[in-house]
Amino acid sequence: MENLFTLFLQPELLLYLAGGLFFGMYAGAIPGISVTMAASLAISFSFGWSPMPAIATILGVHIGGVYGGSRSAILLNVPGTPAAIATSFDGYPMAKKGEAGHALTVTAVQSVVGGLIGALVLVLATPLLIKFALLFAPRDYFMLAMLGIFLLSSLTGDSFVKGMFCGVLGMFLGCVGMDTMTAVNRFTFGNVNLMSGITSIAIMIGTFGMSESLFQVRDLRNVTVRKQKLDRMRPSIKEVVKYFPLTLRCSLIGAFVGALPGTGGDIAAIICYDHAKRSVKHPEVPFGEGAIEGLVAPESANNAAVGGAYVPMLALGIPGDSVAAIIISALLIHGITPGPTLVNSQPQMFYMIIACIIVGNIILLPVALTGIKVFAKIAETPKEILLPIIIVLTVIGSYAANNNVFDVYVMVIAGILGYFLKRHDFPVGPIILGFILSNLLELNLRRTIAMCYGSVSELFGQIFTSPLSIVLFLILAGMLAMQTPLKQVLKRKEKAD
Amino acid sequence: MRARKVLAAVLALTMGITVLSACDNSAAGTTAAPANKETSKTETSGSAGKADQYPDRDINGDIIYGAGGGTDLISRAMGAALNEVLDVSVIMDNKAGGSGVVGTEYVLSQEANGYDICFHSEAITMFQPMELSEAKIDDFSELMLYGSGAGVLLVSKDSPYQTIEDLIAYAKEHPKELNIGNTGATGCPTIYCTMMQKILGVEFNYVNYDGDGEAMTALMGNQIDLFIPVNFTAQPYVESGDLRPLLVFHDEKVNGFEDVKLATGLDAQFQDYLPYGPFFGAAVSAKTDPEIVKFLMEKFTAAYDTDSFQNYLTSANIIPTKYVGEEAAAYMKDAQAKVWTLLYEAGTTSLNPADYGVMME
Repeated sequence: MENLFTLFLQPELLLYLAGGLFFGMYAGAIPGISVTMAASLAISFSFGWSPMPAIATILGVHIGGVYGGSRSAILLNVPGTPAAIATSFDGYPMAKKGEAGHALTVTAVQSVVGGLIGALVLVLATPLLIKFALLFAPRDYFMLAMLGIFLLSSLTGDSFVKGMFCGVLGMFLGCVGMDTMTAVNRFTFGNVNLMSGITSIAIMIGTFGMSESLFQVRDLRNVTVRKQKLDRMRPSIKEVVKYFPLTLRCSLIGAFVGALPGTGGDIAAIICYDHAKRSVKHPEVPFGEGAIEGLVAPESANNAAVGGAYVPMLALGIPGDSVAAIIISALLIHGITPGPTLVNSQPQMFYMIIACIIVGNIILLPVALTGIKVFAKIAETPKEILLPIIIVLTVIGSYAANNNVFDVYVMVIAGILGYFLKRHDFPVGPIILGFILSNLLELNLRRTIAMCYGSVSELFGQIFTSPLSIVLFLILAGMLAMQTPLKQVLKRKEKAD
Repeated sequence: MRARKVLAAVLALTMGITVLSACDNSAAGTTAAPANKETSKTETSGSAGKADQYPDRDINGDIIYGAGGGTDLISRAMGAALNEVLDVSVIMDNKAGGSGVVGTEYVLSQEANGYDICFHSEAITMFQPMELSEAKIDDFSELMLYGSGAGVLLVSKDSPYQTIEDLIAYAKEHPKELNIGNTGATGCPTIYCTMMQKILGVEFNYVNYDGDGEAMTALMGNQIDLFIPVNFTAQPYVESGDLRPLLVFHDEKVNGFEDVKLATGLDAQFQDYLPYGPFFGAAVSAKTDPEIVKFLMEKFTAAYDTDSFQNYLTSANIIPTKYVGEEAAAYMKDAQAKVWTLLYEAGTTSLNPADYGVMME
């Protein structure tokens, strides 16, 4: 147990952690550099260092980066990292109203609280959560992915049909690439660069970063630069308490989703945004126009997911999300084999990681509150200067993903496509959600079919003999039932009473 | 106002030109090379014939898979060892994609002057059978193979099967009932499973996963009944007791699995196919000057013998393998023959190896 205090016995580790937080936060805030990319940069940086400072830095980058993405999401409507996509829905409207300072403070505080809850889950619930995560059969992952697809309806905005179109478009784009099972090339047109599928970062930067910039360029003359109100910037305890029930729910969901291998902060944030929409019936400001709840939910969820991602990593050596995978490589580079033996073979490292996650989230608060004034001012920069800079950053960011110019072309095409979609009021959020869920959905469906030997009765037999599967199935069935005429009948009955 | 517009136009044009020219990735002698530790001579672009001056600048090491994977890690360990025996640095870079095709084709597209070394895995043997790329083993001068692995059949600790014979007996009576994890049609688990199907006459039900990690998780959660990862991936899970090894696909004992039955001991027919497993090596384009190739082979051998590399092999549980030059190429071709034959018989590929003069010994 004294290993838990290694972090304090070697105070220079705290400096590395804080350095990683700063770097991660500002890198995550730059549109075009995602938290995964920032972590890869940190790994190449720290290649020659000794293991503990290197790992502390990368953990700091992870925590800081997931928060940092919210800054550009709020100020520029360009999420800095996939986990911040949902933050832009209510964050940007707030900035347009001049309330960017308040929005930035709320996200900072919620990220810290959510991260701490996630860290708590990591410490207390790892053995339990791991048993749970191992029980997730392919059919359960499939149902979870279906749940995600149902959530597309939350992101559709005014036109359901347009939203669905974008969701399906995203799912289709996710199919491009070589199928691992059969080695058949799908829609790759013989191009070697498409064989591993379309690079997700390139699509994300294109549909959010490039298209938004192009869209704003068009309206340059109409956009009035709003002076940002820089009051209400000290975090208020009252506000934290007011939204705490929502924060707690979203953090727990976030930690759990993060703990599932293959799902991370991005999916957690969107699930919780939808949950907030469903559970908060009467927000002060409607969702999509600057509701505080719309910031609380995704930001606490995505930071909690960071803690969750380390549950399978520490217990089994299997990454819960992409940055945890990078930490695994960092450990391997330094000669440490992550896996179930880590706690026994390298207890110092094991407990240091846990301590870093806890302390990192605490240090995040002061770090996150720095530069809010400066960043809020960025929203006041004339667009003629800001937008070209963003466009350059999107090009750099999409190239940096794989050192491949092809990804830049993908990004530009996605940007132009997104621009035309936005012009005609198509929501671009569902594209990314569809894209992310496409693999999860398809691969797990095929595994499920393999495991029930292709027989539907066998499948239902398997579902109803597993408590986990029953619960997921009922949630899905319930959500479907809520959308049918049955619900209208029930509502009318309620009104009549 | 007019001046501002003109200025803006000029700046935009300049930015556009710089961005486009910076996009040109092929650095074959046209960009300034970073300073070496020793003398900085004038660089010779297109130095295909200047073997006596080689190397006069840093060498590019192109890894065909992404950062953090097995290939990446051993390649970087070798790169670090090379830095100890060379005067210049080997700059490692990942050129991942297309199951190894992107990196391989990239190296072949560069000038064959010895400044682009392809750090690869056994993936190259798959290109021809699976029609992934025009690149063939003969397009390369293989420098050295320095590490390999052997498959280990694992079951979860709750599994009812205590020995491999139990498992095989059950599988024979219930064909296609036991679920086996695999990582794609050309992945090692599938190859070993095909071997088992052919030699022992058992059939399993394939459940596909994206990688070893996912399949191991599924095995631990009892979603699948067995899985055949490579020994170095399996090690930590066997040590912790989460998974049990029943069979090793090798013809001699493997470190960490000394008590486990060998496939060749189970059935002598395995002798035809084993040893087979993932392997790692480095190569340059076949058009490279033979003097340069010879020089590199010596340096790689020296790097292999360094303590740092040997320590890496031990800590990563990779089977030390030392095949240089011609031997390495022969090993690769033999491996390709084995895997191509198996893939053809399994119906995964429609190309008959015999049509291409590829025969198993």
